[in-house]
Amino acid sequence: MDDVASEIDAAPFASLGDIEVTVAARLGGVRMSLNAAAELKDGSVVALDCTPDSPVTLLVNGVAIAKGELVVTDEGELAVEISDSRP
Amino acid sequence: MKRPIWKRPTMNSQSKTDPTPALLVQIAAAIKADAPKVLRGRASVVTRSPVLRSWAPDDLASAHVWHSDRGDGIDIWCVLEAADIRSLLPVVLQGPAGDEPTPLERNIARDTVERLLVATGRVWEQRAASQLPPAVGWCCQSILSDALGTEAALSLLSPSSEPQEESSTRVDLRNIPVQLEALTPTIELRVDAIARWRAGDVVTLATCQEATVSMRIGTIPVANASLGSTHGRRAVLITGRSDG
Repeated sequence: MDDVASEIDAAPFASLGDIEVTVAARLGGVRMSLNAAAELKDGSVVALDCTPDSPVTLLVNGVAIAKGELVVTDEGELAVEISDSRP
Repeated sequence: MKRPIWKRPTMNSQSKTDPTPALLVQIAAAIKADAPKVLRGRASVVTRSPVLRSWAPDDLASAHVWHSDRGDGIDIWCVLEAADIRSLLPVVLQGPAGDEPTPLERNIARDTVERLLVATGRVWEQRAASQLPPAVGWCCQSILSDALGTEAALSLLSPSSEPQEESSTRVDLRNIPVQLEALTPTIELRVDAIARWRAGDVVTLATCQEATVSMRIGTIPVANASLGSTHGRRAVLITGRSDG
């Protein structure tokens, strides 16, 4: 992701605040052949292009919007602690 | 309103321009018609519809092979593969045959097929299996089976230039690179909630028990996985295919 600001600019969306969008975190990826992808099966281990401590990317409707650290909360939930966001 | 219709090419439409499948069926029908006499009622014959397939002489080592060419541009080969020599013998001899046919038994199988081929009205010459050209083409099989269900296939093969062109233009996609992405489960949030995100905020995505990782190529899910690490890298363990 490009250089990011510290906050997301909410002003332009004031009238659209009720809209629901999907949020997910991209944990990493890997480039492989179509054949290798087709042969993935139960038990296959796929190493991603990052270390376990690498930041993850938060996606809103599929668009990268922020970066953060993957954490497990005290309640045992998988979460992302936002480190950087961009408008 | 009338919509334009474009005909999709099918095996049937191909066979209208290529006389080979019909010719193979005609030859197979002649074999079937004469089979009760040649096999003395010991076997029935079923003709399978011609299909496009590839073959290579290496796969047909030890086969009996005959060739027929009437100069009409249609090259026809008749093949009795090694396994079918073995299964034809019990049909002809009305008794068990050994795993490896003796020269005498191979001759019995050869003579049986040559008597079946007489009914086709064509001249057939026996050839070495290595002379059969590797090709893609039409294959029409006559299946000879006895009362016990023992089956032997007699294959009529004809190389076809049309499917060869089709085959050579087929694109091999196996090595095309794709980007496989690992994503957490998706949640839905309101825009105004996201607009309030600040550095240090924690966005909860799922309970750890529910945290199935979705492996996607573009927007297409291909597998589910669980998150872990291997050899100092973040990694996933595939737990199931998404495409069934």
